[in-house]
Amino acid sequence: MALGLPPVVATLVADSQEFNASMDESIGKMEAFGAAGDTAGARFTKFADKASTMIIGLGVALGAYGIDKAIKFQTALDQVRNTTNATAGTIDKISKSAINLSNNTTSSAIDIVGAYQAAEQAGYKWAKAQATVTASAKLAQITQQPVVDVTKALIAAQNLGLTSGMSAAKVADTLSIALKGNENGLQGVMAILQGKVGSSFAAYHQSLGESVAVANEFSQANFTNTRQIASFIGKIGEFKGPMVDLTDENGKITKSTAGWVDSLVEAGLNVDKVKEKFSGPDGLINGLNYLKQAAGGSLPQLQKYLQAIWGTSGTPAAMALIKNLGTLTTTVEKTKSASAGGLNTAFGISQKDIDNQMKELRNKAENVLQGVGMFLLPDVRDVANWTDNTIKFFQSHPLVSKIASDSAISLFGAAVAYKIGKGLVSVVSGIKSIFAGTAITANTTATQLNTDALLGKTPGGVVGGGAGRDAEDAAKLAPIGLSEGLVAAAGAGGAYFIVKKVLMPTPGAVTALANIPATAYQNSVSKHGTNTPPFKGAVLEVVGVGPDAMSMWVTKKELAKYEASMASQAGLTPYTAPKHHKKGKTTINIKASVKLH
Amino acid sequence: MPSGEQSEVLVSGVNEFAGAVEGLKERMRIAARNIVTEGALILADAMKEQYRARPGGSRRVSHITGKVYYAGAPNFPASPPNPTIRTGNTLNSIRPRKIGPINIDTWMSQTGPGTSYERYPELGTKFIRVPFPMVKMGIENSEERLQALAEAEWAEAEGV
Repeated sequence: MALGLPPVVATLVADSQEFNASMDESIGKMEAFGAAGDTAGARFTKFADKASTMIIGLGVALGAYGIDKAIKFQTALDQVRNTTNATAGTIDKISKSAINLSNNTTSSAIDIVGAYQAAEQAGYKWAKAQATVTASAKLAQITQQPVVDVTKALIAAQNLGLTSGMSAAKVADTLSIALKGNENGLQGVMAILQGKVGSSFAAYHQSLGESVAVANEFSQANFTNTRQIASFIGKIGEFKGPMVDLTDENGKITKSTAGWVDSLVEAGLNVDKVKEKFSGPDGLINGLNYLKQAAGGSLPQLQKYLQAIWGTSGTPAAMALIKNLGTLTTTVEKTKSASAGGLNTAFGISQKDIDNQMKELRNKAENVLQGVGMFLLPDVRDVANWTDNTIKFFQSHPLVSKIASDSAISLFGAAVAYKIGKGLVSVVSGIKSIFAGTAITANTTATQLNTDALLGKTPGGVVGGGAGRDAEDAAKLAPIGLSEGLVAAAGAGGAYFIVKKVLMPTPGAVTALANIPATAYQNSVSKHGTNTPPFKGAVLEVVGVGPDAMSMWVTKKELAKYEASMASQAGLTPYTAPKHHKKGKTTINIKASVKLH
Repeated sequence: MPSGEQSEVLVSGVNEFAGAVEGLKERMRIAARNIVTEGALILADAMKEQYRARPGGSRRVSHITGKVYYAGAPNFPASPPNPTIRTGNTLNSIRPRKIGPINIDTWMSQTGPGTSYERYPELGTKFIRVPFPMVKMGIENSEERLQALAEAEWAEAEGV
């Protein structure tokens, strides 16, 4: 910088330190809680009270995981809603089907929702979408491929025009058979079949099995020039077309309107035979088999035949297939027996695989937790169902059955149902509050009070009251110029606070500041070492707002030290105001920090 | 199961809870990074928005030397506090200048112009009695956007 003067810059700081420290504390409490509970022979005399606390602890632990999954699941469903024309009813069906399919396959519910998204985007109606995704989930397990990719491939296959009258399951089984030995190649195969290649197969009424098997062979041989492949397949069309021949007196063809007939005749091939083989069902495979047979095991002769039919450009494609023609022929034959039942058989075999069993088990566990988490989300509507599901889950959970009576389980369900019914702003905040302070004792009380409230015994709200306290603080802080957004955020749960400067507070602001909760003031006092309001008549630069000990007052001098410290740690050059600009303030700070309430 | 009123209590899910919390913390750190990164861009935009377009005719090219001159007062006077674009060099130099972590949980960004003389109109001098504080005004005008950004990022990280 010229003249050695520092720049005028705006510094923006975002700090999650305090939040994360609080979360560490909650982990410590949870671990201590767990350690106490894990101690063999730990005795509790008031079983019912402790058990209900325990269930809350367990529920929170499960909930924390379940919420994460549920949020992702809900996000996936939202994406379907946002990117397709799916109705609310369809979304509900997708949600249920995804969990059901996930329970029985290796694909996660979230991935299956992604598969449904692909089907919806393809314009499938529900029945077809369900059939396609179900078949895809099974095929995904068989081929060990992501279900979304498999679904897209299956949709692409169904759009080839080769699957007329075939069910999604039969298409999937055909793909499964045709890909045997190249389960990882589904995407590559579909990449080849899409476009001209697939439409060529379809135009000449070739079978799906042959098309996929041939594409698979090309894919494995790394022969992916679709233009050449389409041209290669296009010969079938010529064989199917009309031939106009000129013959001499002896009946020998002397001239043909189709140039390739001349080539065949010159190569010594029987034109009618070749035409018959290539234009029949699975013509490409049958035709190649005929040429191989006609060559009598002579490679030069075979190459001569291939050259006669496809010329220089098509011969490499033909040779790629000729190499494994025996296997290819067998595969195509097998695809003819493809059926929905065949897919189920292959799926059944794959289910016996221990890895797949573990994945299914994991999915089932996740889906149960997801179910719990789903109803903990802010937009929960069906509290009663959630409570039922939760209670059913806890009742079937072997651990819970050891430690809790039915009444305790109901107590928990009722307590949480009440909380949700009241519309928790943030479930995560709820979890934090459970583990904050004297969590174990408070929870028992909270459960009882909440249950009482649910039953109409008391008019009170949720125990904890963090939001109300924040709102009160926010009201006190409003006169010092905090924006409505900030106040609202504070009132909504104190998720964060933005520090903003207050220069020369007005008398009203000073009064408002004086009304900040005593703990905050004490904190300030301890920081400044004096009980004189540090802001009186002073120029304050940073005001941290928040409940309890989160408030912080820093003088201009302290701010400079703070900035220098931070800048030093970050390897930045701290800014200091030049002496000849004493009146000017050149660094303006906006600080964001997270608070746990 | 012990008899009577005494019971054995087992707790599970501690590791899962700890894992979930660790995930949450990590998301908060990412949110902090996103806030300062995106916030720096918002600040830069807001600072640039303070500029007033150069009046037509204020730019003159000498027919003799080919040099470019930008006319100010009295023909095309400045209009404080908003700065007027003359050459555009300071305007074009406004950008995030440093973005980085202070520690694992805290991120900082610095945004501002890079011309050596920018501080004079920003702060004022004995020749510039009424300053043109584009940085300061940019900050003030971006506060709502920064708050919205922070709110959205923290909320997203918390999964609210």
